[in-house]
Amino acid sequence: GCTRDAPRTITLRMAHPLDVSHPIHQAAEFMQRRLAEESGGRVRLEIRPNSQLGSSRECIEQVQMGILDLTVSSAATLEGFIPEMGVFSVPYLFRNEEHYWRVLEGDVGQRILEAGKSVYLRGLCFYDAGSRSFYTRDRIIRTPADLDGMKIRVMQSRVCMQGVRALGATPTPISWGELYTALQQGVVDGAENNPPSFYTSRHYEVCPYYSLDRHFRIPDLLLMSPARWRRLDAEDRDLIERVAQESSRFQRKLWAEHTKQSLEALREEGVEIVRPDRGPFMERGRAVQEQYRGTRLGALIDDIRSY
Amino acid sequence: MTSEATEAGGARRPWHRRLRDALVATLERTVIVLMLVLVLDVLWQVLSRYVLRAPSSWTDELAVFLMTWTALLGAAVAYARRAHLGLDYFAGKLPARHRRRAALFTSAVVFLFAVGAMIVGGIRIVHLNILTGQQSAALAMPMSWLYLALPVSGCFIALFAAEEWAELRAGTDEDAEEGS
Amino acid sequence: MSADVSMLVLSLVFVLLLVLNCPVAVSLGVSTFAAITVTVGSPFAAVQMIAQRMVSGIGSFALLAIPFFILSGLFMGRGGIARRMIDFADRLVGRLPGGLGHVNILTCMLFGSVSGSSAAAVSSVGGFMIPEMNRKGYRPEYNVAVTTTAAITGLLIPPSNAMIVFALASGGISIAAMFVAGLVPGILFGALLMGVNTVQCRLHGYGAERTARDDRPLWPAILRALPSLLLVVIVLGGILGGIFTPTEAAAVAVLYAFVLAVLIYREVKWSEIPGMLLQCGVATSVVMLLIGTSSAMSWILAYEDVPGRVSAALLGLTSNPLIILLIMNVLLLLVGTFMDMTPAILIFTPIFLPVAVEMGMDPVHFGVMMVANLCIGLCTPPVGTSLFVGCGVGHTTLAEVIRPLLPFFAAMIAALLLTAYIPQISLWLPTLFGLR
Ligand code: NA
Ligand code: NA
Repeated sequence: GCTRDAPRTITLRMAHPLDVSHPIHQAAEFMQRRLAEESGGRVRLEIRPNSQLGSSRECIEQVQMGILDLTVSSAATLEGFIPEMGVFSVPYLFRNEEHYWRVLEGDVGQRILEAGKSVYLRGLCFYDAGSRSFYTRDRIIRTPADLDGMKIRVMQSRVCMQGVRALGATPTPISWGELYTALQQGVVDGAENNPPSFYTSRHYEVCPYYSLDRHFRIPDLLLMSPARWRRLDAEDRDLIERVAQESSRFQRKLWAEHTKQSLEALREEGVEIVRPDRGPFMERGRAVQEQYRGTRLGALIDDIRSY
Repeated sequence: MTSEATEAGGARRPWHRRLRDALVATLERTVIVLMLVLVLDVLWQVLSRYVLRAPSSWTDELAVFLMTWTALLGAAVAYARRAHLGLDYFAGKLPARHRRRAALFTSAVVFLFAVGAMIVGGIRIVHLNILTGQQSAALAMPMSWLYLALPVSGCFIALFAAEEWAELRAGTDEDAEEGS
Repeated sequence: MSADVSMLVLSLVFVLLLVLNCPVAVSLGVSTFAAITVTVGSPFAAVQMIAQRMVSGIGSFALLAIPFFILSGLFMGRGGIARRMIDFADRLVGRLPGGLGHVNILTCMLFGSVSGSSAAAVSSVGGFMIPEMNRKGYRPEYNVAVTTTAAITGLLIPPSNAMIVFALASGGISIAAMFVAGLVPGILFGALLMGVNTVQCRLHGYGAERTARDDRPLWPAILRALPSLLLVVIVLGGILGGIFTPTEAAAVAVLYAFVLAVLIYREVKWSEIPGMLLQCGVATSVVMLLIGTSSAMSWILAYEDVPGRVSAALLGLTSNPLIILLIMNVLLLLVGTFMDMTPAILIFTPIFLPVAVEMGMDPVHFGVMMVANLCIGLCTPPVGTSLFVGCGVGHTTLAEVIRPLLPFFAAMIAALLLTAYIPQISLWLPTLFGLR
């Protein structure tokens, strides 16, 4: 038989573009603690936050190259690597938060996590990034008709652009870093994001109207390098998978608190926040879902709707 | 064979020197055109926002694309013209014989850098981008076209470094003395 | 452990290649390649990594301002702008003791304020001023000393390519804030240099050239310089007013300088433009290749957590922020004697900025201090762009210039210390404009 060597210490390196106060970073630190506890200090996690090793897209590439072991990225950014991720940028695909998490934790979610295999990316778990809503400079949005002709900044994703166009607005891709000035100069009439990002970006200084229509729910994903994964033994794989799931539940609680606090803070800053009737918005959103009928994304959309 | 002789009689320049000069001239013209389009592109961005009141969504992306190509092709021109910043203080203190050796060594290093990081590394990145079909957001242009600037520029720099190496190899220590 | 080995390899390879006169950009790339190979164990991963960092380092919209400011500087230098500014400065300070020296300094500040780099100011202002001063009995080496030191104010007074490079290396400080923050320190440097000029001219009996009252009216000189000065208003006003991004402002500056130099003054011919575009393209590429490979180096530094460890070591040395600030300044002055400004900013910003922030220093203040510090290095041998260009234009040698340079160095060190220890000098204006 084989004698067992002294337990092999493992160092995993993770980088992400977010600030240390962000729930994602706190989830990463939670993972770091849990991995150390569960392995008796044998499995170490080193975290480089704040885009120290590059933008989100560059971190994903580094995971693909096998230089970085882990990164966290929005499904919207991942759409450029894994077409299936576009499904989250289809407006009003999820009926509510409960439906959303049921899908992500079920076998459809598993399929999405595994969709990156052919491009050297392995999804481990989903993190909550809330739901995205419109904020605007000059007038508030109460019905889809208010969106007609408005120039809205969108993320650099094709599906996202199509979704916002279907809701009635004119989508304009602008990088996140330049958005504040773009809003100030009136290059766009508004943008869309979740409450914490709207608050921390201080965009409310130029956009005093926030309309909680919650059109997109785009999760963040914890990604691992498949090359690194293959070099781990079964025991460590189990450990990492288990701790990743724990960190996901931990992060979800933090995110919920974060969202509540951000909305309160926004109200204190004098932002007018409304909850419009989502019915008419959802109707326009359904048109987008039909557009994808017959495509690979269409099949995934059907699976999610019937889940 | 002194450098004056090779410079004066154009017909007597070795073939690799003539090839190099032709390549540099082509690169220079390309850089001029790219710079011009770059200026016009950003001016168009301002114009479209304030005069036409229809902010263009693609000018940013095109500008970054043009800038990457300008900078990398320009870097090859700069190498041919010895315009890159270096620290000639210590090497300048060496006797001519050692200075020539140092120059041979550094042109070999530049050659290896161009081949390794710019050509091999660049092609691997281009390949990764083709594999995942990455596109730019506004122009829907394959990202591989952006990264392609690196191996292309690497080819030119490698050629220029090899030519420089051959030149140094064929020259004498006295040439190195004059050259400094 | 492996981190220490890879950092040792990085430093050794980098220094060796630098000493052998390998281009700095390539030295950065090759030493980074060696370090990544040691850490990750795969040379293929290392080259791929460097390729990624090079392209992402170069491909930034914010960096686009650099070629545009270089190009507008070229148009202004050749288009007769410098001469009009000398006339204007002459009418303002020409009659003070050491008059032409003051004119030189003020012109460098004015011209530096419209172009992005000090080399541009030295070559265009020095080209006019040094022969003129020689003729009036100032010693040539003194004139070179005045011009090379005065020209560096152009890197503090906006617009400034050095500030753009710092804003980029810091990862997210606004370029507008950096531009505005440099204005007062730039004027401070200029003022102290003028002080030294006054004393020196009294000692050597320079500048007795203008005793008679100049009765020509002042306004034609102002009027002639006005279009050039308007460029500053367009660039700064446009950025601060939220009308342009810094990149757009730089492109508008090119258009404006082009109209002045080619269409109005007609001192630049159409046929010269391709050559200027090429010169600008090559100058830009030199900076960009440096930015590309140094971005690879700062990646491996971050991967090995070097900034964190340097920060811990420096803060463990003493808890007195004044002393840490002094240590950082002395280190940067040493770096500046040997290394050109752009690579120095790119390499040391990610290492020192976290320390400064940890001490509670404002990143904008740190950036101004760092640029001011490295400016001094531009006038010191053995490697000093401003000094080299100055000696070339003034037909003197480095050895001759050293003695007259010393009092100017003293003034610059004094200005640096004031900038380092009085944050308000850098932060007053950005705070006033709500940029921080
Ligand atoms: Na300037
Ligand atoms: Na120096």
